[in-house]
Amino acid sequence: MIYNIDVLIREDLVDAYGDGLLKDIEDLGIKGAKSARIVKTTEIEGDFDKNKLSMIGRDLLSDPVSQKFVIGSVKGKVIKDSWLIKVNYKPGVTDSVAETTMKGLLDMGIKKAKSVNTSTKVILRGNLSEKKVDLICRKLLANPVIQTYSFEKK
Amino acid sequence: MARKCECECSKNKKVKTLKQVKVEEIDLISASDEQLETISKKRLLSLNLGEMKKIQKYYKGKGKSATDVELECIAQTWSEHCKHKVFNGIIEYSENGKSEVIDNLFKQTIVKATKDIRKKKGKNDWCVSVFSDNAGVIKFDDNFHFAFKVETHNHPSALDPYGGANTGIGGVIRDPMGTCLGATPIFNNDVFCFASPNFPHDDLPRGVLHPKRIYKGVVAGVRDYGNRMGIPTINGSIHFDDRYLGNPLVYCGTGGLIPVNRVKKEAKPDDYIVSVGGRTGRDGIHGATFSSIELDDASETTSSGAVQIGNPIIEKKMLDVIIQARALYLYDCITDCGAGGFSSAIGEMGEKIGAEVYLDKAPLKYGGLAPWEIFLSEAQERMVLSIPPENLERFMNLCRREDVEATVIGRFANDKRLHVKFENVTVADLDMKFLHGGVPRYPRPAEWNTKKFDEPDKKCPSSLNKSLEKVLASFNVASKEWVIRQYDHEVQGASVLKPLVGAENDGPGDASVACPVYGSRKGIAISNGMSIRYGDIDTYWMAASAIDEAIRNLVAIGAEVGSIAILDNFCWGNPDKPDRLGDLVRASRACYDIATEYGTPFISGKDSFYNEYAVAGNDESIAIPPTLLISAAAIISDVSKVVSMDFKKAGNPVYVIGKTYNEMGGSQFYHELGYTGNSVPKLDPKSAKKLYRALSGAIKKGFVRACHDVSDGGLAVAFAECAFAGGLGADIDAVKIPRVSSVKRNDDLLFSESNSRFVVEVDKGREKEFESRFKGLPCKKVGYVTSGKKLKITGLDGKAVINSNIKRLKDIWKEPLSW
Repeated sequence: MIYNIDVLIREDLVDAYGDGLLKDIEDLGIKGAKSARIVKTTEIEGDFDKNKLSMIGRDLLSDPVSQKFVIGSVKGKVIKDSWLIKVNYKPGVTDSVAETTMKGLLDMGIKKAKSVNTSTKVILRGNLSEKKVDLICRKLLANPVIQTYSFEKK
Repeated sequence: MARKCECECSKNKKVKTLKQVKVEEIDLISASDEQLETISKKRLLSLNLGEMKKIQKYYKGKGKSATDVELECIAQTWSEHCKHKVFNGIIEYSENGKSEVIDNLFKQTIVKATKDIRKKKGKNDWCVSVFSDNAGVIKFDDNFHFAFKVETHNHPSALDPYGGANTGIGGVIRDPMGTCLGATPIFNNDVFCFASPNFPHDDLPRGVLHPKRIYKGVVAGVRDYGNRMGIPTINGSIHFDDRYLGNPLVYCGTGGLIPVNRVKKEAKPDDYIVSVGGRTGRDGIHGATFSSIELDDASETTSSGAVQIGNPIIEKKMLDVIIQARALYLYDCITDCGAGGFSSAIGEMGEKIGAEVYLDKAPLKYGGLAPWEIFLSEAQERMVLSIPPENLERFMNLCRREDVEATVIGRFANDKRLHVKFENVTVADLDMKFLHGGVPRYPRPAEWNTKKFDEPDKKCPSSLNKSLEKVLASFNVASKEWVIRQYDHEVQGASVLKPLVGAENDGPGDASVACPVYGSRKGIAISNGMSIRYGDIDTYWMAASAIDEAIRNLVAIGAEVGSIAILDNFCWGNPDKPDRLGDLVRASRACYDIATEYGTPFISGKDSFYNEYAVAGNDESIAIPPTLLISAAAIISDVSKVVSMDFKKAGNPVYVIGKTYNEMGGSQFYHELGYTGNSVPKLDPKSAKKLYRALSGAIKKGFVRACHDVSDGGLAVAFAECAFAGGLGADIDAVKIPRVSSVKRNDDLLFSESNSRFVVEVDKGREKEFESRFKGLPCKKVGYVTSGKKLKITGLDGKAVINSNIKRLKDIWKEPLSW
């Protein structure tokens, strides 16, 4: 099984990367973006029960002071009426965060993980056309040399 | 042992064939010229026909076909990146119609400067190892030497700014680590060149990332690696010119300390070749040869193999193991895996003795790599150590304890051959002599002619407030605080004088000082100099000014000229074009002339050519401006004596040291007007040296409260920076500023960028003692620090020419690049 854990900044705190992205979008000459939130996604392949996954989300992947984690993918209110953008590494590109996560799992005594992959999601809100979102992806979020991207309206 | 293995293979009938281990054989002996060229092009070898023919001759002599492993290994060993064929080659040079042949420009200028200086210093020569190892090494104190290296990572950063800069800093950290028997890194520095962050999105050529995105990605890449390694980034600068659009420049440097008894390194026959740190993947294949290719709009997809991804956690753990093993004398030799990967590292370590490599033993990130890919991969965070058999077990145990991967991948031999095997099949067998000495040399034409630019035809305005504001707000001069604040310059707890100084910790310091040995007051100061715009007029004076700026920055904090060592990093366009190469000849000659006069040896350096970008549908490719970075380091005997640049106390007198000439050519002021001009700042190192000696003496005596070097934007900017950094005003009378009589205009006087000048605040009551040190030298009291918050400058006509609130000036200076 491949399990997914999403980590994002708590709603009541400032998402600095997200705010930075809003500024960059403005610099691109695109108006209408209202908010951007960054979600760090970790995919872990192996056999785990819910308790183990919670432990991994809480103790390894998130900072309990400023972040929250979701087992599975973020859904519901958090992404409602937004463009959900996904950015992945191309196959063969070294994923250092995944490598270190693997090491972290071993340090926690979890030996069952077969593989780990990481990716990034962006929850983007505002009055933005599909064309504009595509431009944002190409110009700001994904580098075609090492990454691919996709997005959908939620 | 190496021999025995070979015998077994040749006797054993059941050995695998080359095909079974995925090695291709290439028949060079019968290849036509055209075929040779196709082979080079198809395999991205970046070898020209002459070089391919030399290789063909070698194989004709051996009577065998080449393997892909051998060809790739030769190509990378002979690459511009590793062999510096342009700098070491033959140049047919013509200057304003006068012709000559230069045999080895590098030896005749940079190397010769260092040689001559060391000879002159005689017994007091403090160079330890220059140009031979991964970093330059000089003496620090009785217990330690200091190693310093600056590298570039331009092409990778153009394609993937974050990853490129990330691995750029990661790579240069491994340089001091792989110098002598391993230096402990104590600081990083970085210098970037970008196109304007305001470049219109719509004008961007296909395949080029926007400069602002490159800027942000590069800064984040350096930040994340340096900070995570726990190494402070204490010095740097950022320069802007739209010709960097397709080729941004990313210079990263690292300094480190080596115990004096860990200098000598030599791999010995029978030592194990051990790979330590990261695993090998396809990352960065062809990095060394790729860096010799011009980029075009297809580069973004064809060269994804050149992209390397960094992992600072692995490098940090590897560093910790190496420091321990160094203390225990567990290894004979060490080097880092940079461009060319194992092929380069093992090839260099075993150059004099020979080596046998078992490629199948190398730990891989994933399966499916062909032997040549393993041998050439530039995967990051790897170092190669040479470990005597009796120490192997202890070393391996140490690595296990520290959770660092270490693997024996071969043994050094004494047959002067590079013998590479995969699953017991020989996949490469080359003579070390041919590999390292076989590269042919070619003559290249070079040309330099005096250029003529338009001069602005404008009257000097009666108020220069607006001009000052414009120059302060230019990207080149504006505050880089947004970047500096992202870097940790406090980690390790040794930074004494920091990159930002002054009453509110936001003034632009000239140089940074680290005090790396606890309990000792001995320190290391570092700075940099770069004068891009002068190069458009004359690269000779550009190089001279860059050297002077780097040295001036150090003198301004109190360093002595005699204790300064410098590093050269040339980034140039395509040297196969005569004008680009002519610029290089001029710049190198200045390096020799100025460095020998100052007595500041070059201890290390690097060059990066082919920084050009071909825009689709355009015949002429765009070259970067000739760019020379001079990094300078000085040993400071007592760090408690250094001074910062911010004005300290109202009532103190302000001096200007050094003469102002009519040198507006290439200045920031002319640039704002849209002109280049012709009167490029020149330099008289003989008299400058006297001035510098007097100044560092005065600083050591404690007469000086603040000192700031005058560079971009001239005296007006220097006065403003000293004032707003200190939160104090100043009253300056321009009539008193030392100058040549031809300087008759207020704008020329206040914005000329003449070299070898300083603004100095002297302790009130010690003016006499201060002045007595400058007898016969250009040094004049020009005004006072004031408690009011105004910078007032009275012009040559006795009327106020600048009168501005320092808070306003500071805001204008801080705003443009604070994102």
